[in-house]
Amino acid sequence: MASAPEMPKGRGRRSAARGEGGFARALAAALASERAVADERVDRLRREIRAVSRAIVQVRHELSSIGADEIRAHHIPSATDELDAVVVATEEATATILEAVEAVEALAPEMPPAVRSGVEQAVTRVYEACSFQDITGQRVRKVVGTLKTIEGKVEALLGLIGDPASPEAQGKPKTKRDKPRISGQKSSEESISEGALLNGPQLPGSGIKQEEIDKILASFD
Amino acid sequence: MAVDLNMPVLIVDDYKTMLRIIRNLLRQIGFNNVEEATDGAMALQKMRRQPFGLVISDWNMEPMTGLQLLKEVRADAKLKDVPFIMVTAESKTENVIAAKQAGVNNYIVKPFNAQTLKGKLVTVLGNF
Repeated sequence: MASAPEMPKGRGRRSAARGEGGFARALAAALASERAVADERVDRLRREIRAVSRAIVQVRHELSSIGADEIRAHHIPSATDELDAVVVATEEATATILEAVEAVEALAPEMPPAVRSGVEQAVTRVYEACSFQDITGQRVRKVVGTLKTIEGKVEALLGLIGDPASPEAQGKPKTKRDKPRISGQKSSEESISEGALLNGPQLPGSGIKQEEIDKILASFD
Repeated sequence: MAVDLNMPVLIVDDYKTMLRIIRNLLRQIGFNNVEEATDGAMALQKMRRQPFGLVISDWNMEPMTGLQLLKEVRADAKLKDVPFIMVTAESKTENVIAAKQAGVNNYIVKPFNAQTLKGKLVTVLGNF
């Protein structure tokens, strides 16, 4: 083992000791300063983490208070069921109207010519008007689709943050829908490009009219 | 060549009410030999079993849309020349272009009236 270096004697030794002491004090001071900085950073991180934690707790509390799970499991399915019922009801009513008008049309040949002409024109107008049921049905399906999208996003949010009021958080099985759907989801095999063409009826002012469609078709000739 | 009003016409729509309305309007125009299908796949099956002189189809149907039906018809050597009219609520320019590029003969936007339907039939089939 190497022997320790020989310490200088007398004034040299005191001088060396003072040098080493100064170095050690400087080192200690530097370390203390670094430690203070590190402690400050750790404290700041702790404060930020506590703030984030409080925010998460608050969001979970808000979600619990608005009943996000109830929205997903009950309100949205209830709304879509009501809309489906609207479609069914309007379809039934339209069928009744058509049946009655078809009966009138069948009697038209027995009417005097002047009356027959007027009746047949009126019957045609009723047929044309009854196509409203198709349009309203498509609009309702769009709304149902939107509601299902919202439902999916609420579910994803609940999964991300967790809802303390949810049945799962309370150890209960997840709430399921009881009622069968009438409006179905689109096929997942549908290509993205053709899917973009499925927009349904446009709102008044949007979409193009028959005259513009005819011009587009003619432009291909 | 004169249009044969007795030729079989296939109407395709997933809403039974719409099928009934179009059938009634076609009857008023003079076409009484009308068959129905409630989706594209059913329509294709019927077309492969018997010849049709005209197809009038909706677009927004499941599992096969009217556009997919049109493409299938145009891709089939035995069916490719069957006149095809799209009757739909889809009213965006890109829809009309896509249908025309797929080979549609004419395009009617819902809601429509009897006069428009007859006009398009004359355009596609000829005067009658």
